[in-house]
Amino acid sequence: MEPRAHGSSLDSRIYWMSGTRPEDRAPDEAAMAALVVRAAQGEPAAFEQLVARNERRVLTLAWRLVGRMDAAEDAAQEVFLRVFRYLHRFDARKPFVPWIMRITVNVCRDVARERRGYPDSLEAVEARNGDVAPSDPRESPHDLLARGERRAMLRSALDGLPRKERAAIVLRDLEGLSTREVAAILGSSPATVRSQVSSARLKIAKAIRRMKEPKS
Amino acid sequence: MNCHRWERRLALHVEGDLPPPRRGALERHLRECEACAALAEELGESQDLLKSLNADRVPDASLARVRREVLPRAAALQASPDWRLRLERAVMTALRPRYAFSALAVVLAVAAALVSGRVPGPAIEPDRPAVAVDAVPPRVESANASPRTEAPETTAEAPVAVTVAHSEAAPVTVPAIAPPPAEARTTPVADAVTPAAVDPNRPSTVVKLVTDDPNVIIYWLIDSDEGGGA
Ligand SMILES: [Zn+2]
Repeated sequence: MEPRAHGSSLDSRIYWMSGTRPEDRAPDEAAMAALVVRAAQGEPAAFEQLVARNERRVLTLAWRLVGRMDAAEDAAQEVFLRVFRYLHRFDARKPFVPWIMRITVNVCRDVARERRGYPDSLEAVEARNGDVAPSDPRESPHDLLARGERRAMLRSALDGLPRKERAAIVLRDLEGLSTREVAAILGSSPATVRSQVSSARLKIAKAIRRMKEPKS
Repeated sequence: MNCHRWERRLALHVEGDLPPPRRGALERHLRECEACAALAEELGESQDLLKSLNADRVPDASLARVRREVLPRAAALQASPDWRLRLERAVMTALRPRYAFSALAVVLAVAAALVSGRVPGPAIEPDRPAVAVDAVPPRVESANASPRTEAPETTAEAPVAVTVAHSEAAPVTVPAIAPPPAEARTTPVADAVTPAAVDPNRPSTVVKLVTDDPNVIIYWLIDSDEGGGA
């Protein structure tokens, strides 16, 4: 069988880790770098724009990493406050998106530690499914229900993964980053990421198989 | 046939992640082995299902809440950053970014060398500014790990003009900042020897800046977790 083409993508992924001269970069990255410089100089409007441009990306990633929307909101807030505090550390020759994604992963790791020992109740899992805006309002109630069940199944499979495997598979398969990009964000090697990703994919497949089996 | 050893490779292969040298053997095996071919198909389906999560979008209300919380808090931080941050900003602004990053890299390398070799920190010479580096081990993973606490904000004058080295006058004379963080003092050295390769989360680093005044020691906490660009 042929390897499948990777479906998902992140708008900036093709640009990051690319040329270091700002003019070599995508307009989005160049604009982002300019915003960082202005925000670091204390311009509130620039920081506000930085938040506006990255809030969906950060909140989505946080949500995938911690599994709960309320925790993800807390994490996203902390991410932007850290970004604000450490703007002066950002190397404007480098792309901004991997930097903020790395901060997001680190914040979510701390959030997960704080919350460990408080597993979600089934009610919480179901309530969480109501968190999300339907992607298509024309969906029939039946489809909506099926989608809700499927999502609950997937989320609990993700929740069952060890933290590092979860981060690796989220970045690789949901954010659509390359193995090298994931390794750079996680501060590990491509070989380690491949090992984590393959383990996580097998566990997800197994969890789905178990949940599909009729309960006896 | 025991195909356990193919599983990991299959899980990579379904997304094109298997390095080319290993592809040929796996593809040959897939043509011969029904069990592995079935697993490959199952993995393909579970991957499709997993990626269907991409259709979920975070609610606008959540985005709005994040923004509503962040912007005022950032404004408050702007008004009164804590002393560590002011010091760090002063250093980073004084040095050109290129040199600041090189300096940070050198400091981290020295820290790593000190930690792995268990070499005691260099003696502090009161007559010359010296930079001593201690490594703080990665935060212990425990359920009751407390969130990062900020240092109390000092009553702020204008941003402290700090020259790291060769300063005649000691720039900061607040005694409250002299004691190092408790974790740095109480943790046995053995704990700090955790190899960085095992845990990709690099340890925090405490940079001790010693000024001409032997009574003034500045501790600079570098939390490498946050500094993706640093
Ligand atoms: Zn086989």
